[in-house]
Amino acid sequence: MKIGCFVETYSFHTKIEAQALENFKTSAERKGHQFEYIFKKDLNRIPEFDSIFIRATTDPMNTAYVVSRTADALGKVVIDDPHSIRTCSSKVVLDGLFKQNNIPSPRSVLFAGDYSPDNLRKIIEYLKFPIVVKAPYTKFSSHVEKAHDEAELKEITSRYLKNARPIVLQEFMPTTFDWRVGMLDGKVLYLCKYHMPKGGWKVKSMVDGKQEWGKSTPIMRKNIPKKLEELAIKVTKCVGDGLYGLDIKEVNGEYYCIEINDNPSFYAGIEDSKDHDIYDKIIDRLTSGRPVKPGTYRLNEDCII
Amino acid sequence: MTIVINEDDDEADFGPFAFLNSSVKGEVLNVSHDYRYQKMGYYVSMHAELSGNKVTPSCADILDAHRNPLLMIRAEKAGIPCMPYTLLAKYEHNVNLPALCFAVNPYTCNSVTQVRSESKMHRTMKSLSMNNRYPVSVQPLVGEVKEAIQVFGETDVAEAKEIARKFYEAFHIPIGKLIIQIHDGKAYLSHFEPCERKEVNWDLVKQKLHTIHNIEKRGACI
Repeated sequence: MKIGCFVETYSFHTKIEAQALENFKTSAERKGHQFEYIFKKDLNRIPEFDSIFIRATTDPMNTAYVVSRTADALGKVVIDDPHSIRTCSSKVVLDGLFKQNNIPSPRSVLFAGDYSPDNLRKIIEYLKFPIVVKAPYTKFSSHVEKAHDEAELKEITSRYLKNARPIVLQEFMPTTFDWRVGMLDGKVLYLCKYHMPKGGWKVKSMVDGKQEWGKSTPIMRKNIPKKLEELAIKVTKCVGDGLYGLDIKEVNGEYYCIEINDNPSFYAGIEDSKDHDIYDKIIDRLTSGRPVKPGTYRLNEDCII
Repeated sequence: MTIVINEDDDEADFGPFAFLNSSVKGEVLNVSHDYRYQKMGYYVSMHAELSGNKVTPSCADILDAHRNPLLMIRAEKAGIPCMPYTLLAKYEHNVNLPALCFAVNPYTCNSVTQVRSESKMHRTMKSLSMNNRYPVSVQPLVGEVKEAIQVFGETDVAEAKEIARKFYEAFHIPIGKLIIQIHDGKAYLSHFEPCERKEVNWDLVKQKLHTIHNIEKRGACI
């Protein structure tokens, strides 16, 4: 089969990301498939491929969405499918998804710019400072800031509201790491702990004026805590049976879902270091002839947590 | 049917933000002059979909209409005469001029640019592609370019009436601006954009909503 891998070079920052991309190609070719990188200039060539694998920043605003939607409309297997992109790209959408399915997550409210004293008082009483302010389009911890008082809250929110409305205000839940659960086809694909850098509060934090990434600890997927696995499977069901990376916090043995990301990053030597078959599994899914099935948004009553 | 409108209107059941905090069940009609991604008009449809409701317009329709290549593919399938287009990833010398260019990345709501010279093409590509980050849709500029505000498939622009009707049938977007070209007396669809609030004939919107309400009531009686 012929796999088109849509790539935008600005999405890749490190050698180990590029190496992971090569690992996909190697896996596909070892299995007897063709694997070709395609770029913006190749948008008219999508019909040539049996499946499309997107390795570029996905967002309904980006070219990747046009690629995904076109491939999907042509009946191709596409990862990420447009439904997953629409769902996962917006933290506002995820907020609604978590709330309506009672998925444990930090307390949150949507904010559209009502700065009346009464509204601010209610929000502050409910979330308590520090409050995490999230733009809907946050990626890799960007456009997520912490407000420690009312003045900061007003300053950050007014800045974010210039580009999106509403935005998300969230309770701050401090942890030293986030679980990253990679999911494919409704099953756990890989497991990692993404640690916060020393002195930071996000996986990618500003520490002493410098952007720092925290370390990652890979763990064999078979060792995933049962409760974490159950949560990951249920959350994923709302979105679809494609490829996702879930960010989950653990506090006192309880798990809280922060985000479900489509198009999760792969760094050679990290996500693949315990379960080496992750590339093969993704290539098998792409060549299965089975398009990604969108989730139902709403879980069946018996699945609601 | 629940009607959500971004204007004060007696026919509205909800304003947009109140709707986002509601748990309404059933069909939803979302009426806005601006459905762009990450704007309130988009989130109303998204919230309705998340709640398992049928909503007009759907998020998929909204996004398709706002991305020029997706708009053209679907419009053509719906029998709307469309201008041919090419997607360019960066500036190229061999583009036939004059041309009509559109940003495929829709951060702006008025990206329509008429280009008649190489030097302007260079500047336009740089600007609309945000320094070659996004592709640009380029169409031949062969006729008069007109804007037509469509409201539930109707427009005041005589040449665009048929396109507006078919556009609404295909994309179900209650309000929006169609960019058309008139060539040899025939209208062709070039692009779709959100309207500014002041561009919309809200009296016509109210009249349409009133009719929808009456049909709903009659349906309930039958």
